[in-house]
Amino acid sequence: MGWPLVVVGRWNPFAGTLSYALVHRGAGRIYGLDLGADHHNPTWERIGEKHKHAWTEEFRDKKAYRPDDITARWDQIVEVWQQFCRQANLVHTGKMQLPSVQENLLL
Amino acid sequence: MTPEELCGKLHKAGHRLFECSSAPRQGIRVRTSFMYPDGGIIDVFVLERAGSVEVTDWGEALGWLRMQSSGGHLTAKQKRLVEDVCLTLGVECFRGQLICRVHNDDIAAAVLKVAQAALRVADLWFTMRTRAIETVADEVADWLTEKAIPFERGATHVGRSGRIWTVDYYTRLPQRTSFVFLLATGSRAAARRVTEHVLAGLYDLSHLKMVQPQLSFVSLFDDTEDVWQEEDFRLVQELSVIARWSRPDEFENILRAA
Repeated sequence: MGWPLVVVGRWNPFAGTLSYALVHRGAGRIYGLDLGADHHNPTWERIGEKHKHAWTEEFRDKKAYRPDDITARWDQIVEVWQQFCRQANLVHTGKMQLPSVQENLLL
Repeated sequence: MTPEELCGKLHKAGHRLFECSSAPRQGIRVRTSFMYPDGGIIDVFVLERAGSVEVTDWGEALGWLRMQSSGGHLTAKQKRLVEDVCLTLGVECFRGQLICRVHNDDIAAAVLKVAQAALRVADLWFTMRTRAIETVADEVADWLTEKAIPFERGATHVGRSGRIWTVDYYTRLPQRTSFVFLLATGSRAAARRVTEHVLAGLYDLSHLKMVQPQLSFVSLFDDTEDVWQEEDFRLVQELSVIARWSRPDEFENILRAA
């Protein structure tokens, strides 16, 4: 029996944000990348618009850091996905297509 | 109005806590001093549409919320709470966006309303924190409600021995009635005791299946905790159908099976 992990992603071209995350069904997000939105750490630093969340016992997913391995921009969805996979040790055997713009987010 | 003029109006109103910059497609992005529960900064966007000025979050709050769970959906209860947040603040939730029209040229007030709505909507995350706030038993109850499966929680039935057993969820659909026993624990040491307790209940209540042919027993394992061994499943599989909480679709099929 493995651990139920799901990869989720979100791109908002109007807000200028792109996120990918690994979500554990019981614990929530345990690892994630955010581009385009700033972050404030519990230790009072503003991290900037490119940051990663990694799980720690102390802060869970609340503490972020600036990653050096993500060089693509928030609007380079496929490139960021590839860089995210490399760093998270994920193997994606399919092909990531450019997503369409979802105008309607249902509740 | 140009982006510079919109920024100027905000600063003129004295709200130095807002940081303004151009938005990617239209209007301006206002970086507020509010935060999502994970520490992300809440941004809202001010734009002009057909001569009037609006503030929107471009769906960021609901998008953020949906991204915090593997299912990516909101429960019926959470949707009601979103509606209530919007009602309180006079903000619309249209196509997933929190939107407010600017009245009397008071952009700052609309920015604050939308930012506060985004904050409150994102705070529904606290109702999703499965292990911190909500037990798996509550999660299952919310899920049954969301799936419109009628159920009674904690129904009691008398076993053949005379002992009274609590059934975690007594579901009733036109095609089938189910007694669902939830096996949930965070401890490997307790896992076997939980299984044996359910096994005893299944055996003691089994006479009910003789008089109610449409009644089935379901053992629902919370397998999001890695505490169960194969023997636990084998112990109850003779007397019940096994479902796993990590596979809610299969669980639903079991409950709805004719």
